Amino acid sequence: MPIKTKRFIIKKRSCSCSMPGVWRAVGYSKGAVVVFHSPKACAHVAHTMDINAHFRGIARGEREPYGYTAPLISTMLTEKHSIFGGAKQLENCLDFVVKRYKPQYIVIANSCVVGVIGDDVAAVAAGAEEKHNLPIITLPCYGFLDGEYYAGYYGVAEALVERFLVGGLPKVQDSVILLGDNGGPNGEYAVEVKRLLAYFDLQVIGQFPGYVAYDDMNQVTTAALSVVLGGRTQANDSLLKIAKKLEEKFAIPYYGGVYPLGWQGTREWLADLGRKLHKEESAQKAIAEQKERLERVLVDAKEKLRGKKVAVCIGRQLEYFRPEWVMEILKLIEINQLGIVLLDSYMPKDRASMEQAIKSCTNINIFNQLEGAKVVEAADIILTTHELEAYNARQLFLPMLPTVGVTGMIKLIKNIIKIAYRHGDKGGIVYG
Amino acid sequence: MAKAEQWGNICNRVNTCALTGAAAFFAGIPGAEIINNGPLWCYFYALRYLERAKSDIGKFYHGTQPDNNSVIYGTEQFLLDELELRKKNSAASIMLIENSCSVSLIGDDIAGIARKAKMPCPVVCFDSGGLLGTFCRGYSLVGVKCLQELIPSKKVPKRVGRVNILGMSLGYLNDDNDLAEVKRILVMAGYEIGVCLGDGATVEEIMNLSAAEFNLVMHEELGLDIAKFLQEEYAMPYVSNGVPYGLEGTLNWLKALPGYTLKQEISEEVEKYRNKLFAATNEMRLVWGELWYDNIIVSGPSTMAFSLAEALRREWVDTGKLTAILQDVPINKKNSREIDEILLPAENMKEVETALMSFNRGLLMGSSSETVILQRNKHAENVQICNISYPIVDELLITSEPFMGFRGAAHMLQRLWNGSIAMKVNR
Repeated sequence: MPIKTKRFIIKKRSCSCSMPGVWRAVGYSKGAVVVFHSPKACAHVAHTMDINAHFRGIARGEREPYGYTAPLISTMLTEKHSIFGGAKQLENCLDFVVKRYKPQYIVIANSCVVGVIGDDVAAVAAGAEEKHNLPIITLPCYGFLDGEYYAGYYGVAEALVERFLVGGLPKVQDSVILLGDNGGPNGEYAVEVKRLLAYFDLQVIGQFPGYVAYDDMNQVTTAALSVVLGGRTQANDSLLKIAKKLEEKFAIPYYGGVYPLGWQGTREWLADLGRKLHKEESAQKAIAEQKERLERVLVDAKEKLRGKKVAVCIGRQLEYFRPEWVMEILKLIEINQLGIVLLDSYMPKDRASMEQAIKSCTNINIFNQLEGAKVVEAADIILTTHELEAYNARQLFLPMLPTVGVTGMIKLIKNIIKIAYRHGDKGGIVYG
Repeated sequence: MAKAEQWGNICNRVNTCALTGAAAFFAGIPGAEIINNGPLWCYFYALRYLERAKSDIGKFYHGTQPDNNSVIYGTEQFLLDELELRKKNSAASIMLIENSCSVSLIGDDIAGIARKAKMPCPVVCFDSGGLLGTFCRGYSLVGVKCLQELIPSKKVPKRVGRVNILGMSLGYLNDDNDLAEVKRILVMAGYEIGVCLGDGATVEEIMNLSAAEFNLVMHEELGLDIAKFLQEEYAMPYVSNGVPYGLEGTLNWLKALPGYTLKQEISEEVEKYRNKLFAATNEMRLVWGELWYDNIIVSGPSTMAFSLAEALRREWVDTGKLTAILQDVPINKKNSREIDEILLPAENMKEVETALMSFNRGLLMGSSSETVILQRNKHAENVQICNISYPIVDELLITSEPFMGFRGAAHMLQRLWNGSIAMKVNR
């Protein structure tokens, strides 16, 4: 049977929009209101993402993690604004927002429609700022036209640094400000990082930009260290820029660029941090304890997965999926790897990059989607970036944002065992 | 001139764009293919929305993925590439090319490009982004456009008692089950089912839609404009009487149909359900008390929320105050003896926000969107939730039980009672 994936699309270019990035950058910052200068539906997209995040949080026991959600208002552009312009609509909407929600600051996200119409949003924002004596931030990002999600996210973070953070406050010893989002302060990523930072007696005082209230912005500059919650390339690059800016302006040294994903990543992350803080002994202790913790799980996993065969299907672009951590885990659990299938969702250049990345970390054979059918059929377990249509296949969906640290590895290994031990002929998917 | 919509926190509203609505109409035509001529982001959003009801929509719904330069140079090449692919890989019965907001503004001659591609099937071209409006506007406008493109025959002999169903869509929660129940009841009442436009009718069936004696509009916001078009162009009369919820509500809905006479099968089924529901709920009352709520909010697409709110108070529960939030502006505004307050986010945004933010101790019939508001305001523990519309993230509905009709009356009453009991058990 040929491999069929759900939502099959050959992705010719990146696909995201800067507006949800803007929203997420201040979405839980008390005092903020976000205005989408857009048709109404664009705001519904961001709202839908927020609904899903809310329930994912509940499912993971992270209920009520931040307590405040910024009102999200759309200027509700319609066809007439495409002819007469939407600047007046934005101006009136900002007046409404100030009166109704009494925000401490406003952030405007611009849609691709505004990019085409050519509204001078910066001028409207400046006028409204003066009129209401209220900080109003906007960016030269227009939907998908000028940069994507991270352009919006980074742009707002940078603006917050420029506009709201002031220096000169005394540093709080051993305090850390986390930079980035990755599911928020109670998300698996931040929780694991906090756990690892505790080995160095470091205490997290906040997560910038999305979760710092307007009134608490100055606390950011009291941090003794910033730690970048980077993951994929775009996010990491953007956040490193913010970290560097904080260092330049407020003398906050940063720790970033290393991603504590997989055992090698986690070990490097701990060792590098130890060197940076001159706490090598703490790092060694952390590495030893984490290694022991992992090995206990590996013993059990090797036993349970003995004789099982695994195939890996990859269709995500390298920008969003690095294969190294998956290959490392498969090697550690000593499972029989039948092959890696590259799905037909790549443009030739992207496919070559992914192939190169895979070859740099494993010798396992790589197949195309057509050849890979027999590999997938012979496998007991399929680790995949795309949901396969075969209802009887036992699939583990490889997440866009995997959980970091040994905790993340244990989670993935346990999920591999769960899917391998589905009773009888039962197939289905486990989200990794 | 239409009154401008009121601003407010979008989180208090539930809707999506015309692009999704137009795609939903065509997703309801077997064999149709849809090409979204817009950013991949907008494509994915619409795809994910429609996937909830039609899990294989990805096979028929494609995106052209124009880049940012297309704002200057147009989308012609992107669209032609996609059309070529479709010609090679599919045998569509009809095709929709829908432009997103920003692509609509570029001014590409989409119809001209489609002609250039020499597609082997009828092609409907539509500027359908959010600038145009919401889901229902996209659905109803593209419905008319589809008919204008296909030009169904006017020479088909009329069949007495044959009825077309307009204004139902897989974009509405539980649509497949509701449609099956509506068809079942109509057949039981002696009608012949004609074309379910935008919800199952093939191109071939649509071409013969004028065989029906009349068109039955279900959700007005989706079907009324299409019905008016068919009345004007095909002299087909239509009936629009809300959607059938509750036992008595469904019976009254049937009675309003042209040519309706009470069939024995109908009266037997109504009697059977009356007795069953009466006996079962009395048993429950004995243990759990009355199905009483201090406050109720029903929020959803306008026809659904209005009709459901009426049935709720008339037949299922008692309440101190019943508020209906109609998420789109109804074409015909109506009042109801059963509903204390009707709010339209487009016109009463402040009141909608206040109603949701202060809601406590009662029943919410809406979507996961309203539930999030209550949970964030720490009120959800005191509120019984019963989902009736998308988006829905906190409940799985996969059986074939409808919300509408006689079977739906039993199903909804069951959901309400079980929800109430669960609240009391967990209190």
